[in-house]
Amino acid sequence: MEKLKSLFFNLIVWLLVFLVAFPLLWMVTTSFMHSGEAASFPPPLLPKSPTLNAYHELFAGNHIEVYFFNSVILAVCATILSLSFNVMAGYAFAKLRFKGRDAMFNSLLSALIIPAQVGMMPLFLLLKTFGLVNTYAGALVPWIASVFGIFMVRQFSQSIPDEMIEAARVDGANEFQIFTKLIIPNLTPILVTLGLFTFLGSWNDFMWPLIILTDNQSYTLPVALAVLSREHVQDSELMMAGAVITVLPVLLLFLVLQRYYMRGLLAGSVKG
Amino acid sequence: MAGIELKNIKKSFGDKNQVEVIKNIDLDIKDGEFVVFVGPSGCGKSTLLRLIAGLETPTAGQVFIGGKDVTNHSPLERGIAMVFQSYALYPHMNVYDNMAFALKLASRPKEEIDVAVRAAAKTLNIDHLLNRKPKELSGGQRQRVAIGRAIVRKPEVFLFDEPLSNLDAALRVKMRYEFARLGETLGKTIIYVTHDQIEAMTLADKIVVLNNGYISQYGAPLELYKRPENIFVAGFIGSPKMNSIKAKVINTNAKEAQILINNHSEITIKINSDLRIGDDVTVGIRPEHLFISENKGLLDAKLQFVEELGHAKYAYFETADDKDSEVKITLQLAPEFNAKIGKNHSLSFDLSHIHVFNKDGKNVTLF
Repeated sequence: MEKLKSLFFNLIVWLLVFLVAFPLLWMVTTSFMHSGEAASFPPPLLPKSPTLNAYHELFAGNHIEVYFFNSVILAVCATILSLSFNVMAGYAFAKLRFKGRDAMFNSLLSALIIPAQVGMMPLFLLLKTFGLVNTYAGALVPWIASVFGIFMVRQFSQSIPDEMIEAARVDGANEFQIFTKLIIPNLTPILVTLGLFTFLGSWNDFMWPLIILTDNQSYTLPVALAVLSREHVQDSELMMAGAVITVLPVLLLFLVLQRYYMRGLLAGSVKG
Repeated sequence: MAGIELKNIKKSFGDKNQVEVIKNIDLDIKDGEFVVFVGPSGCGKSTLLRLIAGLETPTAGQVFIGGKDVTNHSPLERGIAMVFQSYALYPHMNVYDNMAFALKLASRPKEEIDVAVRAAAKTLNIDHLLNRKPKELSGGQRQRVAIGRAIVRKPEVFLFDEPLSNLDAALRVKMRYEFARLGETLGKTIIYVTHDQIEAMTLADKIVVLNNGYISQYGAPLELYKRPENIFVAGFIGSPKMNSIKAKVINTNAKEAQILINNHSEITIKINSDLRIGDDVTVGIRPEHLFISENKGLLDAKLQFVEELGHAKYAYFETADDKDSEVKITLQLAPEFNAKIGKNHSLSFDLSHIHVFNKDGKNVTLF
């Protein structure tokens, strides 16, 4: 009976894995097909004779490397900015004593219920006033600090014992040294998790770069792909090659950092 | 030279300072003394230690270390080192780096740091653990690292906040001995906080008994044991605790008082303070000063329970006071005494070891 139960659950899991992985696998195989091959009936699962034509066209004809580079720059900068501000704020909310701390944090938390899209128009108008439209600085503004990031860091920071911070104060460390030499190393799992979330968010973000970046040379990959799909609506192979270029880096990043990321996600549940 | 002086120290917490934890404390600790702060949970002993360390700022009053007013100084400027209850080791650093952390922050030369760390590690017998992370150490080893971290800085004052409370009973006894030895080796001023009165009695040159934010008594361990100034100290110092029996003054003059215990026994004691006829008092007597009398004693009580500890035997009796309330009496029995549970006995005590506390809890016995 136990064996049957286990077999049943394994089957369910494999079915779910297949459902999730199939579109991704088909995306990869299609990207290696000749032009028009994916549109034939019945649609082939594997390329008859694999080719890099689609990738060649992406790089040579559509300069996808420019958009790839733009995305990398923006995602890396967004990650650095987000980590710097969120970690400092989250730590301060968790461990430093200042007037109005809890009230301020609660008001920040209540802002979580406002959808990001609602803030886009006022933010755009604000950045327009500052002359930041069509600049990378403008594209990075929403990533500087996030309530969710601050909340995550705060929750994790609370598990750091006060006595450790006080021991460092007795040892002669100033607040900056405590933060850099003790807090940051002990927050590694949550830094990786937050960094990964931010990188993924910025990398996949479509709406804000579309609004703020008007020059097509500064487009990010998702925006460039959308434009490309309008121009080459029938060329599934080219689209899939573009999708592979978009998905692959973040997939690799996720796999490399998976160990830390999982520790960060689980931390809140197992730490006192 | 680093004696510590506290002048009118008060500490309150809360937005409007509504929770008063330390209520006007004056204390003078001489250079090189090993002083233990002891008291029940919430009495303010750890807060007082943190005020000396500079981790809390007093609401009122001044802190002097080595004759210098350090009330508004940071912990670093006070020349102190502190060992915390949870050890507070830096989990991402190995033992060597934990111990070297303060010296590195002070930008001391590498060779000097190395010599200091290795010397402290050798003193504490942890020189073979220098490359290990805190999570790879046992409780006792972590405790030593925490002490080592304090020693390497060569401070004038050591502060220990319940350092043994996270250890098991056997290790606690071992570390207690090591603390006593360390105190002698270092020759520095040490303040040690504990709620364990055995630790206090065995380690201290002087004990500060705190209760409800006040100092109940400050003195040498045996002085506190033999001459408790009030009923709180009498009950807190000594294990098993001192027996307390409600009684009434039936006659008194300036030097002596006649007291009626248990509605039928009269005793006369020398007093140092005024008592009036009819005053309710409490008679205190330690378990080792009570004995089972063959003849009619001062108290009749029923044996309820015997605790056999091997080296000692304690008997727990029940009797009634003058208001017919139940009173529990503990008595140290001779090891060979064959006790029978449920049997009534007549108890007597050595009047030279008796304590009488007035209705305010003050010891009025003339020693």
